[in-house]
Amino acid sequence: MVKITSSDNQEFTISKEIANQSVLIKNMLEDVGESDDQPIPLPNVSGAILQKVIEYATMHKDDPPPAPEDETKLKTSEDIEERDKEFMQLDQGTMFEIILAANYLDMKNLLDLGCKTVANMIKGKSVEEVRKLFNIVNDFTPEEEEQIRKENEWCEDR
Amino acid sequence: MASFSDLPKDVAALVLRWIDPRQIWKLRALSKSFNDLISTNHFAAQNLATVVPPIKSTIIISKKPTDLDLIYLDAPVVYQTEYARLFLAQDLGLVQLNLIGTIPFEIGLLTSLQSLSIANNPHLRGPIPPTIGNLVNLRKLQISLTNEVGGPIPPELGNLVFLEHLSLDSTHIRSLTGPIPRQLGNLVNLKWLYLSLNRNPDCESTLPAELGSLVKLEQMFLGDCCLVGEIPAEFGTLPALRAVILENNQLTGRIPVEWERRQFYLCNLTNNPGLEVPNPLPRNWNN
Repeated sequence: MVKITSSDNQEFTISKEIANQSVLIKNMLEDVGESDDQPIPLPNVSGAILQKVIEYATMHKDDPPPAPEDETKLKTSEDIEERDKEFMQLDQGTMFEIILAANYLDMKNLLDLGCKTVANMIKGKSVEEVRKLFNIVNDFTPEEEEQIRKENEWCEDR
Repeated sequence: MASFSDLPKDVAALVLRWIDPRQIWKLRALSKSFNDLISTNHFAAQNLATVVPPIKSTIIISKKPTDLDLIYLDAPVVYQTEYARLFLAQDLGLVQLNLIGTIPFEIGLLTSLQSLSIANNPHLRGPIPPTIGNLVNLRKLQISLTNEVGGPIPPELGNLVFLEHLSLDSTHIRSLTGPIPRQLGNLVNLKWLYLSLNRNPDCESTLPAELGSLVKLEQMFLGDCCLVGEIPAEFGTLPALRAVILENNQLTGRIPVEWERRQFYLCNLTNNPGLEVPNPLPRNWNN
């Protein structure tokens, strides 16, 4: 078993196969060796988010190793397993925290899932709608905005 | 709690790469940081690699262009560059596509091309863009103009040092004009040279002595090119030359002396009233 602690000092004890889904933790374990039972500090992840991440890793612990990628097949962000879709039914803040944690912990599948989920929220939306959705502040001057609008004429109505 | 703006750039790119280029380019208008991210070559490459079906090897602009092919020439430059680098095509055949307009200068961005053929597009007008001189990987270049609007041969073609096959002509109304740029003498790998040129009202076309450096040249087809002047003495020692066609020009003077002893499987110098041709023709010339 492996012990990890969150930024707010919550301690979690997880099995090695779950821990190894994070390349960051895997590498740390290899560095410190088997015997050390000091908890691994993860100062970038809060306990609440770590809880979710462990939930994801537990759900996927028995996954078969990924099949070799079919190079000729077009990948899309809609290609998400049903259980993962349910897992990502979260408020926006938590969703972005999980993406940041997956990036920090180096968990490729979870990062991929998070990125696809956000991409699907953006797809088909107008600039205004996306701004509203993610509270993005328009920091262009009117001149700059006009310039971009002009440069975008090529992709309108196509 | 975290928001989209908290994502590091590389993670934001991992999100946005899933979105169709036509939408993503509009999203540049979201904010400065989106604009900066989306406008990089790195992102364009990532985006195209994610959303464009992988292509096995060659010919992308074929008779069934994809959506993206159709907007390619209007796309922002970073997309054009990366599209070319990632997906295009070592061979591009724009043959019988009924293309209209002029040959775009942006064709010079398709630097992965090894073979380019543009032919049988009756409404496609010249000139041949000088940017074709950027396609430094070309082995074969064939352009056949069928429209009366043509223009001269760009001297920039002299940059294409891997070129083995160069064919430029104008089939119906002969609109491609001379002169033959002396820079073509740089094409040291050229084996096959075929030109058919109209008279240039501004200057006469002569055979540049520099073509005497084309040590691999096997076939020189320069009939109907409105050529004047002499055949340069340098042509006498072109070591690989096996076929020469210079018919229907206004060449004068003597043929290079070495040619009389050469084995040509084809040599046609007829219809050059001012040219002194040995009589009878050497037996080793097979006309």
